[in-house]
Amino acid sequence: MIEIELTNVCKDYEIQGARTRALIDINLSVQQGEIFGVIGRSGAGKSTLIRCVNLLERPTSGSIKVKGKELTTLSDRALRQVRHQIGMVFQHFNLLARRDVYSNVALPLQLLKKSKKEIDAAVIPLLELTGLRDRARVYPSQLSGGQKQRVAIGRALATKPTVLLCDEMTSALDPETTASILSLVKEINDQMKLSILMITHEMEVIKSIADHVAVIDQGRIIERSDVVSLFKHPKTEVAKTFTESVLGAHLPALLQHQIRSRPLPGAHTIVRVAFTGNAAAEPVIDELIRSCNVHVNILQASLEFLRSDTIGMMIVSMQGTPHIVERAIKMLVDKGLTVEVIGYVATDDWSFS
Amino acid sequence: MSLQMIGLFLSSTWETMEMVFISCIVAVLFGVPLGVLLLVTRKGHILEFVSINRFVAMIVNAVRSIPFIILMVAMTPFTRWVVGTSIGTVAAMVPLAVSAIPFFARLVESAMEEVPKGLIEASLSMGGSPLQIICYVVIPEAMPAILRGITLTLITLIGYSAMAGAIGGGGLGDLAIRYGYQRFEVSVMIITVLILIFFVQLLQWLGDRIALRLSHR
Repeated sequence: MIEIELTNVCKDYEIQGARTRALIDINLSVQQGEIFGVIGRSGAGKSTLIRCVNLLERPTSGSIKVKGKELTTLSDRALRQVRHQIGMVFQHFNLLARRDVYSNVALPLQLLKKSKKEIDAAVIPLLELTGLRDRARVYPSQLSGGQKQRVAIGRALATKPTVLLCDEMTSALDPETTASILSLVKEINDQMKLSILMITHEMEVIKSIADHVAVIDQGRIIERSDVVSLFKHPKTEVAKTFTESVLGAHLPALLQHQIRSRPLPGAHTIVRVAFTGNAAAEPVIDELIRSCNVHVNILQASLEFLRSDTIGMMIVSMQGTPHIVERAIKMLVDKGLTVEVIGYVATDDWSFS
Repeated sequence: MSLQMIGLFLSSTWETMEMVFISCIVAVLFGVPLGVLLLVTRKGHILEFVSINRFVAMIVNAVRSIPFIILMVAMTPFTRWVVGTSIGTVAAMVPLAVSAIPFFARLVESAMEEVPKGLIEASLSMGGSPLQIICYVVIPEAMPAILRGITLTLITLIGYSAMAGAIGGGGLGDLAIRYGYQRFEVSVMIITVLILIFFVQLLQWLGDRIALRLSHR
């Protein structure tokens, strides 16, 4: 079942007479129970995108459906009813400074005019879940960033929504805290079967918890796939930059200057090899050297554990006659690996140690 | 100093307090809704209504630009209509309150403006109505700043109340003018000023303390 569905969503801004197109023809759907990540550089339009989902910003055109209900045509009152069913978490937490942790989590329930008893019954389990039970009477100024975000998550869940929107949820947090917040979100996703749409500029976040991912650039979604495929075959330059940021699959700096696009006699062929799942466990390189008689040198290698898969990335240089190198590449492809020839480096340039 | 003089100081102090506090209460009662209106009807705010915003802002500015002494005299018919008389302490409260309302409204407006936009956005995302957001989020979060605004209004009113002597309003300022200035009784002048200084200090200290306690920063 589709929980969130955006169809042909456009958003234009008019700033001093000049029109800027923040979102262009966005189509996106989030299935029930999945975590859908949207990644993009700053200014790509991702904030506008997520704020369109609960109509904090009204799209210029297009349709927005949450649980099958079209939102753009709703009255203010009906829209508020729907918003009670959509939790939202922000980059800067947005907690009320003059309310303690308990009252912050209780706020959405007060807006729904719930009784003290009902509020108590909802808030205490959430404090338990977010690990803030003993901090209930503490004010936000005394909390760390991670704790503040936990409060915000608790608050977003107070009305038992079925959809959670996360706007750069971990961008103001250090890596360690980010990891703990992400595992909390994953836990919530599993326990409550919550559908989550999150936007981020950190591939790390997508890597650790997302099921599906869309890449947004200059207001358009330029690529969309499941997370493993994005890592395996990023199609666009932007996606490549993002996946490389996690996989560490860049060329050593010195090599980058020496690399040429055309083969030279006796040159090293620089190849990027990506492999997933079982292939990661096979002694591929060993076999390559034995059966193809090619000289192989590993320049860069990494192994990443995604949610459902393992993905490895290697940059190797191969040396041998063109025929031998070609055969070696074919062998790798036959084994189900993704192989990409990045370029060639002449033997006399081969000195990057 | 004669017993009569001490009695005069006491009654003047009481009159000043009466004038200042009662007109401040009225200013708060009217100023808070007015300040809220000035903020939330702005362009892009939760109850955007630009024409109302301009209209209210214009009235507020107009009242604020009239010098108090003129306002007091010009308002005489209105004052008589409201409290039945145009002279005395009670009559002085009316122009004091009227001049304090727009002043305090602006203070409330700027106090609430300091509430981070993100909080309003978060409350909108929770499905809060504009009225709920004002009552549950904006006013409570702005409370320390609003309280500082009340302190400032009280202190400003103490200054203005001195002019209330012109319509027989009484109070410490009146005492200072009639005895200290017009009869050259320097000691009365000095004591009055000392009492006023003490008052202002006390109010400021109290206001700051309460605001700090409320802010939870």
